[in-house]
Amino acid sequence: YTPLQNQLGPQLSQEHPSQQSAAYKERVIHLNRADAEGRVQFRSNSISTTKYTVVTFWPKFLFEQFRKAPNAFFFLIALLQQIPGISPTGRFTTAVPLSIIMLLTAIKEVVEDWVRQSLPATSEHKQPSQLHSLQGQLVCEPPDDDTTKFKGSLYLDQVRYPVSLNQLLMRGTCLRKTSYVIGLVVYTGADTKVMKNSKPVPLKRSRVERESNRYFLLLLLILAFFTLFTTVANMVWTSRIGPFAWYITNNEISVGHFGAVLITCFIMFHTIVPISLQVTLEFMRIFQAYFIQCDLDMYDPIADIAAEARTSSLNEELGQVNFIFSDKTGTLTQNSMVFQGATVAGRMYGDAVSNGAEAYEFVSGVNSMRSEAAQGQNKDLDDFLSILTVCHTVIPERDSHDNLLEYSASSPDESALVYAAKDMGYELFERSLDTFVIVKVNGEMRRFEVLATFEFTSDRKRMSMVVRCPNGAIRVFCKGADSVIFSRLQSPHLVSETTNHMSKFAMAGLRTLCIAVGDMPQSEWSRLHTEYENARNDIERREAKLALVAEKLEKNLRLLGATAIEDRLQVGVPATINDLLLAGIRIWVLTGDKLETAVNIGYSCRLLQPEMEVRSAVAELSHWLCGIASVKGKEPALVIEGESLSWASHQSVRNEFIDVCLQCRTVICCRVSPKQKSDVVRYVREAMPSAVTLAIGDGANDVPMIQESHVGVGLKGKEGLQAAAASDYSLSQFRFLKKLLLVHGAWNYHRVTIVILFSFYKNITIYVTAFWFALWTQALYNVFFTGATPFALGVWDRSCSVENCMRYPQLYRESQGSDRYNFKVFALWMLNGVYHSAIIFLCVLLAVSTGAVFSDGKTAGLYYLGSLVYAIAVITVGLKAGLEHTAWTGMSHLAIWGGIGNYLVFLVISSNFFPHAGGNFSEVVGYDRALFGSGMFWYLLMLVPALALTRDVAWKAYKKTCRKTLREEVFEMEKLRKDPSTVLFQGTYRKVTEKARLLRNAVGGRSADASANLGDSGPAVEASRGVNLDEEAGPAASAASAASSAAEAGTVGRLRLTVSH
Amino acid sequence: KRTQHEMQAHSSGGPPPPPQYPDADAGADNEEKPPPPLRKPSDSKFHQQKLPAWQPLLTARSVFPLFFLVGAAFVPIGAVLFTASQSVKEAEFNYTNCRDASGISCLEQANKPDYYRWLRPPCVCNMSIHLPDNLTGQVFAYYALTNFYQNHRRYVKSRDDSQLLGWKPGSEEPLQDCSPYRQDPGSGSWILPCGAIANSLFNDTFQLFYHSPTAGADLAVEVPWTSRGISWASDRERKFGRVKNFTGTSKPPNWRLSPEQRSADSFQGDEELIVWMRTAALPSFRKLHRIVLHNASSAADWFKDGLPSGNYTLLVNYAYPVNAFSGTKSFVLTTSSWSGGRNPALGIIYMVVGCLHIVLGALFVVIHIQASKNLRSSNNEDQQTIRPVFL
Repeated sequence: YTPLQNQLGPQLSQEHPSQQSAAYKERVIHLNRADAEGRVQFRSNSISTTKYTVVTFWPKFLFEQFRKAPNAFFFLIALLQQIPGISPTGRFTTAVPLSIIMLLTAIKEVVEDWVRQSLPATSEHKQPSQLHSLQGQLVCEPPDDDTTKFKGSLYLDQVRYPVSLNQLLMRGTCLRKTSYVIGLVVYTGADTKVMKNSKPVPLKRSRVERESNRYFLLLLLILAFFTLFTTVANMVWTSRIGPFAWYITNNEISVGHFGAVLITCFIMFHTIVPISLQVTLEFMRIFQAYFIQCDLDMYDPIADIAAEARTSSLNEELGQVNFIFSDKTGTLTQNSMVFQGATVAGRMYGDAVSNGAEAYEFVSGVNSMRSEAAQGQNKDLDDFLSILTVCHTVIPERDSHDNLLEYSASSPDESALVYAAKDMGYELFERSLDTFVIVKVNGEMRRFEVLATFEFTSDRKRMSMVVRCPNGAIRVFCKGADSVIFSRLQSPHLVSETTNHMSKFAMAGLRTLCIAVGDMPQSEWSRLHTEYENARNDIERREAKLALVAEKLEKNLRLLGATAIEDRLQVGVPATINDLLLAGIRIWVLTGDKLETAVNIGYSCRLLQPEMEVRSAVAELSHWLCGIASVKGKEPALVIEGESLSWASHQSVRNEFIDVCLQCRTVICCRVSPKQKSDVVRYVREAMPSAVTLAIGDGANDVPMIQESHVGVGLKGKEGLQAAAASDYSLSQFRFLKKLLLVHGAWNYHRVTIVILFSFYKNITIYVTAFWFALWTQALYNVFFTGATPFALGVWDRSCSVENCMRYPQLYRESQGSDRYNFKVFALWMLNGVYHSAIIFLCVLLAVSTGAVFSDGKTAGLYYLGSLVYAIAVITVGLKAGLEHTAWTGMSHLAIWGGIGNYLVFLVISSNFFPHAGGNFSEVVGYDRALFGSGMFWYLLMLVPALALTRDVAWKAYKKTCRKTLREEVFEMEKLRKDPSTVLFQGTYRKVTEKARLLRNAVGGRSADASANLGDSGPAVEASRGVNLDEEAGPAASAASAASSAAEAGTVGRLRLTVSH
Repeated sequence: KRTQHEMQAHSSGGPPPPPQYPDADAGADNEEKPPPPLRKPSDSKFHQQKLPAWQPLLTARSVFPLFFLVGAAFVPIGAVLFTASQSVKEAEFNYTNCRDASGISCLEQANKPDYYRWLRPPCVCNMSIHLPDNLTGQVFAYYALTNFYQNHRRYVKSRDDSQLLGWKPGSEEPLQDCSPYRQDPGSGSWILPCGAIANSLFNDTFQLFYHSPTAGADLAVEVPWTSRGISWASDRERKFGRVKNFTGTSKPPNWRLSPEQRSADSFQGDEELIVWMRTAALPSFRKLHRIVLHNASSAADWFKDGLPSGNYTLLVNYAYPVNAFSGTKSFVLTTSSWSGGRNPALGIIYMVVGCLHIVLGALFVVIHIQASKNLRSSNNEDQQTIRPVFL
């Protein structure tokens, strides 16, 4: 950076910096003086973005694990089993598997955290020795989290230099176009602005897991019922029959006895809670995550980057996403600008052509422009291109042989313009900042002397330069947003043509900049020159004063035209966004960019569409709240600036704000800080607790948002790896999100839910037979063995084909809600398990009631019944797993038949252990011969699974015939080799559903109240009347801003009723 | 078209074009890849989740043949099983309340511990029984108890398998599970075999006499039978061994005889004990007691083809107390079939399930016809019809 004029130095340095710092509580940094007076110890520069440290690992890990209800439950069981003589099972039957599960989970966590670890922060470069002699002080603001401002003063050799955000390199910045930077460390470690914006890595759990924890309570209720019932039954038995059953001793009833029986029953029935579920899920998820990483469709061959799953515990969450919060630059766009055309003096170069659908293609006008510029006849074009070449802050970089390397620009728009001008023969040849610019036009060198530069600021929305042209005339070159340029014109000449052309550019999603020129007499410049210099040298209010001078200069401009720049989208972004919208996902864009850019991108990626009513919220909140509420007939979209967004930090406004946002089809938040990005996510999460949010971004400024959302996706982009390092999943392209959600998400959701349901079902089916037995005989009995059939279901099942998942994003909606995994579904599955166990137990009981089941007259006993029940249950459960498969891969066969086979092999082996090994197996000696040798086993083997599964098969077949879901219908069409698109509805249907969905959200939420509140508090009388009118038409209409008339609202309302049936 | 223009724009000194990605839908394979990609995932069917799969379509159409098939198989299987079960003839005689020659109720006598322990001669009762039908084929004799909870958790555990195998010397302490039948309170020596199961061994004995109508009223032929082979071979081979030395041990308190008196090669030879030790699943149970010897020389040819119908006398040495827990004792004579003992339940369930499947099959034929009719009619309707089921 350039120091201020030296003459100001002595005058300023009289003021001692330390006095100043005392007054403002500023941070004072002494250069190269470790022994300086009043030196404070700053924080260490080491930061950690990991979840755990060596010290906190075990406490944090154990807390997280025991927060999962099942783990806490099994821990209790393991403790109870240590009481001797009470447990019906061994002492370590729960403790050992639980420890193994904990250990495996711990290893998984350590590995995942290891990957998450941040890169080394401090550069290893040695600094030049002369820097050591530098003496001075930097006085600046104390650390804060505002990334948009920084102010301070650097005192070097008694000279004061102002420093601002322009001189500050944030942590995580990537150095480009330079191999090193000499700097002074201002903030370190946790004090850095980026770290101030970040929060500790949150412990994320998926919605399915959170819900499962709740359903677990249902299971505990069943368990409590079984335990109490059995205990009471035991008490009744002990009191009524016990005293007379002389063959059993110690049958006195006492409190101790009651407690012991209670614990015994509890331990016995705890097996209905599947301990293997946790470990099955963990392993399953590792596989699922592995498959995500292996997916070639999500592999970027150019960057050689594959998708990465940094956590595996959110795989199923990907199938339930309702909201996507996306960063813009580097995520939706490539952040590379390409000049596409212009309008100069009423002539348009390039054209927006309708491509049939709603979208417009832009035909580049670069060629026609180039050829016309080469002729050199058009004076306006010459001016236009001169301004493009001169009015900017781009610096040409040359190598040692004076060959142009590249144009170095802080803004990609500027470099795009300079490159475009060069392409048309106006080459920026040399530039000395604030002094001159040399332009080479068709071999001829033109020298422009720079008299004044007014840089682009977001407030001014324009950039101006005062130059002395080669012919000696002084001119003002100005480029900026149409809104600011048009108001500074001499005459409205060309305005209507230019506006017309610019709207065409905007339709094609191009970014526009107006170009204007003004002439300035020498006399006027002499007067303004002094003012300009004074303003420039004012340290305190430099910007404001400069702006004031600029106001005086930028007058009586003549409009030349406007440029059109394409902010090139990443490949496949509009298609991906369209499909994600079809999948019922709402996409919000959160960007640090300015409003116009954000809106342009919104259009070009089809997030905003011409038929939508786009409202910008820049003013006070209440105005646009009413504005949105009164939008009729069109789908509303909201564009909001960070400043307005800060209003939402007030709780009273926030509810209304979020309600309005939720009524909009899409929301674009621009000029938001990293913290605000995460705030928006948090507001949505708070307003819709059941919705699943996903944040995607590529920069360090997206980290807070990525951490705040349910699922964070980081793009491994040009902006460093910070976002990817903090994310749960990292991709290299935005478009890969589609497959990640629609295929992996949908599959994994299906898999995880079915595995959870099946695992609970399985244990109920097998172990509730023990309850039937207890009920029948009022005695206790235990069986032990677990199968691992769910695994194949959880890793290899495919609920629909990749092609259909990708082609029909609508299928995603099925997993999005909780239609397939909710309390009712869970309870029904459990009931089914109870039903199956009853069938199995009753059939076996009736068949072997006399005990004489062998043809040689021998009798069977207790363990024969147990083994038979268990064997039949294992087979039934295995077949049920088969029934739940939508795709039987080789793995499924292996798991199902292998699982059943495994049990039979286990039976044979365990029947032959005793007495040489395994005292536990003494009871099952000879059971292989007894079971396989008796016809009974085989008759029951055929009968019972067939009987138990009859209901399941019949119900499934009925549903798949008469009440098909969309997925099943598409699946069936695919099987029958028909085109599934006939079952999907095009055109009108989509619109209606879209509207109905908006309505459902609106009606289901608190929007009705919000509109009412709006009516009460709205300052605008008209708006409040509008709302009241709506309320007369019914709550649906009042909430539904999308409904154009009461009649239409009625239709949609009816539709919704049908849906809820 | 647009791309063409862009390329031209770049060709003359524009910024270096960003890497061109192939169109998202076109697939990445046609792209040239100059350096061998290092991080490219494997393209196997396993890694890409494209393992070949069988995807059964479970609709009414595919399900109704299945139901018919199962129904068609189950009904005949049920019928055969039912017939086999019915072919088994059995006769059960409840002797709980039988009285001895002097008319004393054995039930009450046996309630006294010294009877059960055979400290006094057991109550002997004669019971005249009548077999209405011939029991053709191999005949088995069972005793049946009711209301006896041999499946109680502590009861089932109350044994020491090492003792029974003969692996534990008599001087070694039995398992704690056997308590309170571990140690003889008088002598302090360990009980062998220990535990509640062994102690509560069923100890009634039976003799069965046949009154042949041709041999005169006074002649009663004793039915020859044996306890050899009443237990599971696997139990004899692997769970019960020979105890070498009983010195220094006590018999269970309720036993009349010591183990070595009961069988020369205890416990392997003591099949009644082995049968008793295989605990029953339900509170009413049967245990195999004797196998009739149909070719024994002592009985000439009387029982060659089974047990003939007619009058018999069952002589019971009544000692086992069931009065306390309101149980009953029965003596059962039965033949057997390939499907086991008499139990029609399995055959009946098979037939019921078979019929259920046939009914369901018919139902799904109707559903299938109805559904395809609906499909046809909805195809004829306006395609724009909103079908809210998909929302």
